[in-house]
Amino acid sequence: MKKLLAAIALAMVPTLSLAHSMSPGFEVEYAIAPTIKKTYTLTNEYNECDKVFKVEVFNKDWTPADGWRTKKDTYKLKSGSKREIEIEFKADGVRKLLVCTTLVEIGKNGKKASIVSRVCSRLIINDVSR
Amino acid sequence: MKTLVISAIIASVTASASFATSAWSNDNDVSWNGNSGVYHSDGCSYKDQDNGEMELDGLVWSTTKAATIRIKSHGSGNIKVTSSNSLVGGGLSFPVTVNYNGTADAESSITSAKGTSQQVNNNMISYQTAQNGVTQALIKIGGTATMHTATGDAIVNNTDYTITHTVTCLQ
Repeated sequence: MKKLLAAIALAMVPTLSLAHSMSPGFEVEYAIAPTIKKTYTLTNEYNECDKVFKVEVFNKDWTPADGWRTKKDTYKLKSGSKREIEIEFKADGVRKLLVCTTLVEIGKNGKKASIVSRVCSRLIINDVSR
Repeated sequence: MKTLVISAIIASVTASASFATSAWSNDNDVSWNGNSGVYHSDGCSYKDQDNGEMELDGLVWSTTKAATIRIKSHGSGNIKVTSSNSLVGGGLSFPVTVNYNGTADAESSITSAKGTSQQVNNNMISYQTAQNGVTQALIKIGGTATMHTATGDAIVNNTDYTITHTVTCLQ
């Protein structure tokens, strides 16, 4: 019986070979202060090795956005691990942003990925502080 | 006495209401009711990423095996594949023009039952995800990359070269 269970478990392993995900998705925020902080959860769902992800924020037209900061530009996550990333945004009128995490390196030796996965969440910030 | 009369009226009204809701009818339907809650988390995830292979003939790299990736996403969004248009190898980087519709043994394609606006353009592969439920897709990334003459002169024998493709899921 144990052997059967082990065989089933091994058979399921390839299906766990995911990449990365990020939450939350699309959100609309109302800023009551000059800045607003948002927390995104980045998950490395690969089952092979460590991965390095870069945090980027773009405007709606995919040009790099100004007026945001985070503690680090890149985050190294072990296989199957999660990390909460806090990003602070300036609130100025209505901002339509794309908050992205992009796979940039694989493994301990920092090998470049040739198929790069990028997950972006839409974020609208309405400045109601004035 | 007033209290007794009011109580009697209330009892009568309650009984009538109760009788009305439990009246016999020809409706024989019953159902199981439940709410799905947050069954699918919003957003997307990838799996089965597999690098492709390409060979060089003249100034053109052609894919002999397409790179593949599976994408699962929930909710409204769009997926796009773009290239860095950069050939990297031997410690150097060269500009190239990637064409996802370029003639090659391994071609680009999107296989998705629910994905809409599926497009394989020369410089981008894209589709939109369904508003409701989960959208799954298999993307094959094939085609050609053309070098400039100067880049061809700089190519080093027996060296591995790579062209990177970025798969973006906008959720």
